[in-house]
Amino acid sequence: MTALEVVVERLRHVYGTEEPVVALDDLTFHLPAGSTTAVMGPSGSGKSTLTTILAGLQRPTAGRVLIGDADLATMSEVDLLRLRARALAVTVQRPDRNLLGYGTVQDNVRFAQRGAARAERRDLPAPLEVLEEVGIAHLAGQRADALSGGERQRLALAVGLATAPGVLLADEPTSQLDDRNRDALVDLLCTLAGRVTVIVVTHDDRLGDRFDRRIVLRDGRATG
Amino acid sequence: MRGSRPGSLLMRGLLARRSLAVAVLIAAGLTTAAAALGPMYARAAAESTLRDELLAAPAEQTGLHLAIAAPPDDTELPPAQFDGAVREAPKALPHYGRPIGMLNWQVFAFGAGDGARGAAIWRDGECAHLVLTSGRCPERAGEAVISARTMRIDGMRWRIGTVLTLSDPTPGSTETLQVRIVGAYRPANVLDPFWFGVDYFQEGEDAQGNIRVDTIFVARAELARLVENEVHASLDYPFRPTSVRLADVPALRAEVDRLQHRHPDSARLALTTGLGDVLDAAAHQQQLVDIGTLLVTLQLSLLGWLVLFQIVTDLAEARGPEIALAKLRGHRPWQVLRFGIAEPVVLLAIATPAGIALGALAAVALGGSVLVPGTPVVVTLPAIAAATAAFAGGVVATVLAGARVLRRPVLEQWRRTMRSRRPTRVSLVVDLAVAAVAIAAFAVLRTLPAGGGQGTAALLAPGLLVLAVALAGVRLLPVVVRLTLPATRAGARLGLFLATRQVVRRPAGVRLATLLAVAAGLAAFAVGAEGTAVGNRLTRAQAEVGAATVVDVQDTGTADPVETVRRLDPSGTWAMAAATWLPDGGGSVAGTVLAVDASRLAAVGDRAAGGLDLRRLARDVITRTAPPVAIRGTRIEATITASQLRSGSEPQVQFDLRTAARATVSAESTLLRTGTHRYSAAVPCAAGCTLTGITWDRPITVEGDMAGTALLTGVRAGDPGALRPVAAELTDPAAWRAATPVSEARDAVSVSSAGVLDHFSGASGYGGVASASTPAVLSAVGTPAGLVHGPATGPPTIVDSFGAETGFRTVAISPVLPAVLDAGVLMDAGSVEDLVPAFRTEASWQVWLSAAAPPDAVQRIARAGLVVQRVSTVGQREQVLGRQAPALSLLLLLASAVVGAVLAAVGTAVSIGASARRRSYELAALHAVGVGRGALFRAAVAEQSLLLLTALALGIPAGLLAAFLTLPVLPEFATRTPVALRFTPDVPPVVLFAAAFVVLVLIAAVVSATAVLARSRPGRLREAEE
Repeated sequence: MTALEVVVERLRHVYGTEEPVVALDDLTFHLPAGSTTAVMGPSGSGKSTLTTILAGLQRPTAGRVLIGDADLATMSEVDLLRLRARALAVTVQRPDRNLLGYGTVQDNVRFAQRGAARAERRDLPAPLEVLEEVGIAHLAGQRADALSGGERQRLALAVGLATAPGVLLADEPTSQLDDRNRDALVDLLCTLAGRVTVIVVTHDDRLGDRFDRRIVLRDGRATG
Repeated sequence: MRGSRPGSLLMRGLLARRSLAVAVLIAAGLTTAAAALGPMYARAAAESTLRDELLAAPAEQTGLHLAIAAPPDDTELPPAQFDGAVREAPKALPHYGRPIGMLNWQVFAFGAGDGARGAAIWRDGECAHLVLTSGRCPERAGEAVISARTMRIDGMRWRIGTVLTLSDPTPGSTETLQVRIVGAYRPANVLDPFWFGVDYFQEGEDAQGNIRVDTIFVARAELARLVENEVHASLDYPFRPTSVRLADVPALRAEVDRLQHRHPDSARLALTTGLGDVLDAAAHQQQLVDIGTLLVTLQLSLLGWLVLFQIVTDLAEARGPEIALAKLRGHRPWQVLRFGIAEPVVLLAIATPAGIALGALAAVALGGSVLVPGTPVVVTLPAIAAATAAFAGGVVATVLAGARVLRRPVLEQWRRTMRSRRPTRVSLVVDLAVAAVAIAAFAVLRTLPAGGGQGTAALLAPGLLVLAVALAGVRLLPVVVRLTLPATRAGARLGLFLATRQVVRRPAGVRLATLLAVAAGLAAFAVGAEGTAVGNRLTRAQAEVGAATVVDVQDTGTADPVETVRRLDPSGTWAMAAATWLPDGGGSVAGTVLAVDASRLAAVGDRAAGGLDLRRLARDVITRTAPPVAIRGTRIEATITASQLRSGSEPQVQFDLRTAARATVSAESTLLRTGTHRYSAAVPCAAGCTLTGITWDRPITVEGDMAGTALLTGVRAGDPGALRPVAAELTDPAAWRAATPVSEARDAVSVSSAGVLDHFSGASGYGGVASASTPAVLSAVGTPAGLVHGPATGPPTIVDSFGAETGFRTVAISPVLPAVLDAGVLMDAGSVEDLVPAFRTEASWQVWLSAAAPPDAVQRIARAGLVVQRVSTVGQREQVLGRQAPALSLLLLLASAVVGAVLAAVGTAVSIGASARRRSYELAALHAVGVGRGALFRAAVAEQSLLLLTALALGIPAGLLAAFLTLPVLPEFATRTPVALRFTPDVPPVVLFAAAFVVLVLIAAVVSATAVLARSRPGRLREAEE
């Protein structure tokens, strides 16, 4: 699959009804296909809400979110599943939420590929290819919960790339890594530019420096 | 996708969650085993009851009796045609042994002396069932074998070598045969199935006063030579009960039906059998077993399903993050479903065959303990169907349990705190409604009649009651505990406060506690009920058997069984002679007479519960009598002064004696003459006799009035020329009285210093004087159904087959008596022997042995000269009763309840373990704010204990209450019994069970609290904050 454009228009999300809390307010941005973007901001700025909406796990209160031609705000649940199965890869912050700890490295890649339609599966990369790309092919037979933190993040990235997505959405991929591993992971993410539209939600300012663009959120609005 | 191996991933998942997986395997395996056990156990139980019914039925009932009758157009069937008729009969039938041919000719036999009635019989292979005491078996025509006791009959003088002339007693018949006696026999066992229930050994007198001898066995060729006579030919097909399995029954019925239609009555071959009734009885038992096992299995399966549901719910919850991951990866709904339920379904699939095997093992174990040895346990189609249904139920439980997790949004799954599952008002109403329905159904079940399938439905009642109590009680727990919150909050014990607070707000524990309460209740009921049933089986068996061991013996006529047993056990503590006799002459006895050596009854017999105490019974039936008038020698002489005799109508003096073997002997002297004379007679009393009386017998030539006065002043006995006076106490008014008169005879007897004076008279019959060493009337204790109740037309009498009437006095009424139960009369054996002429030969004699009898008591009985025919024990009877359908159902309930308790314990352990992760965050937070680990541990233990012990506190009393209320209507036996049974549950086993269960759940509470605390590290809080 080729990289997809991401368009967010006048996005608004409010929690609760009696005492509503506005998490995102009139947020608009456009990410060209193949670009790399860091979404940044302090705690409570709306990063997590934006992440879950971009991942199709939560519907916005208002506005549009386009991944390629697909509007996440109006898609059916089944279409959202189909989108995540192929076009949109999501890696969340905690490794245990991205991985089957008892499965091998290779199992986890395969598990990610199971969502793809049968006809599409022949277009998917072989698990070892993906693992090779992230540099952990030698660990293919290892259990996921036996890996180090850096290896797990690489595996999480491999799982994301297993379906050759158009968009890769990664939430705090470097939060639990030391500098060496973090730099290696960022290098990896950068190598994806052009092939995949990479969106990384992070607290880490240094990531923003390595990416094409950065979106800084504050009180649910984009400030930079 | 290339090289996908979902199977290995699934196996890794199962290994990662091995504790839960093992729990699911155990729960599913036990549930499947419970489901499969029912049909397999029912089948084995049905096989066992079939075997019991077939073995208990007499040979003549289960066997086929093929009477070879004359064709309708002939009046007789010459035995020469016997072979032809046999050729028409089936040669071999499945489940039947080789047919036993028989030719039977009722004859009058003359030898050297007196003649006698009897039967000349050829029965194929009879010599194998006779014990030859001398000579040999007949081998050819013209030879016969007679019984040893026939040889001893005085006056007939039949010996080996004697030639008997056999003639047909039918008027007009001229057929005769001559046979030479070549041997003497005694039957090895008159109850041997070979004899097909026919008594071929009926020595005594017939109703006409003719001597009747035991069967004269002759060679087949002897009877086959006869033509035109009354020889009856038949074939008996002995049944082989051990060869019949349940699956054979339809074919067996069909075959018997076919034969009966092929040989309808009145045709050349007439077939009779009672097999159909036996099979019907077995089918009835099977039906009861089927109903019982179905009800028990349903209850256990439901309990198992609920436990399984609880466990797979925990498993599904444990897999929540993985299911969320599958959704995050875009797996389609069916893929998520497949991924979500694959593990439990695989476990269920593994558990199903394991459960069937476990069920089969349980059926073998259960069957081995109670069923007829050798009863096969087979995996039947219904068992496989039940196991499959259990598997399907498990899948449904999995889907239901997983549905909530499968539907849960990914974001919610990631949150640490679940949505509250606090019970709603609707669920409260549902619980109360279920409890109300259960109570109503329980009340209805208690009103059902105790017998039959309806009564078996009462097996559902305990489950319903404990369910109602558990539902209501567990609902009340948080309410009650809430009331204690202020006190625990104010108290110094932080752990207790934390525990009570958690119980109040922890709805998840309610279901668990309900299940545990139901399991504990059912188990308490089953333990109590089984204890009661075991006790009642012993009570009933004791009443039915009469003593710890009862030995059926054959009275060979050579020794009095009462005296023989007294010699065997001089102490009177472990053996007692007894006899049962069904008077067939009418009279006031409707049931069976049980005659016992009453002085030993209390020491040897077992009391029939609900009846009078044995000491009281013995006291009531023993009549004080004078000492017996003992004589020894071959001649007796009496000094009698007679007067006022009618000329030409003088009676004949007859001495009435009883030999040492208690045989009645009459010795005739001369006619009574006016004046004082000595009257003597030869007597067979070299070994000792008892003079029981002197009869003024009516000579055959005397008709009309016979009257006079006779004064008995002396009795001497001894050998001729050496007579010595006998201590006959002729001046003691308590020692002599009038003899029981026959017909219209009247005797007015008075005893003074002059002697025994009798004014006798009568237009018919005869009378005399009798020693008061035998009672004038019998004393009896009867049951209401054992006595004929009607308009009083005189004192009650007992009439034997000779027509002799003996009066008796009903001293007491007992609702039930040993051995004869509610249809009998108890009397003293010695008295009955003395007063009822036919009793000795017609009664079935037994020796009762107490539990204190020496181990070789039966051998001692045989050595004492009594022929042992059968030995019955209370233990055997208990076993048979324990194999009846209701007992088998109760046993299954007990086993199921234990399995249910194990299941509930497994469910508890798993549920607590699964909740440990959730609780660990909370406890970690409490620890972080300064609550000590000791307090947290105590809180965790107290919380679990409160919940678990409440379940036991509800379930066990509910089970006991159910037992109190249900046992009276719960069938314990296939047939009703008049024996008073106990319907209160056996409490000590329940207390033991409860104690064991409490220990078990306390261990579970401590282990789970330890597990929870071990997970409650402060590091948990880092995970929780995300």
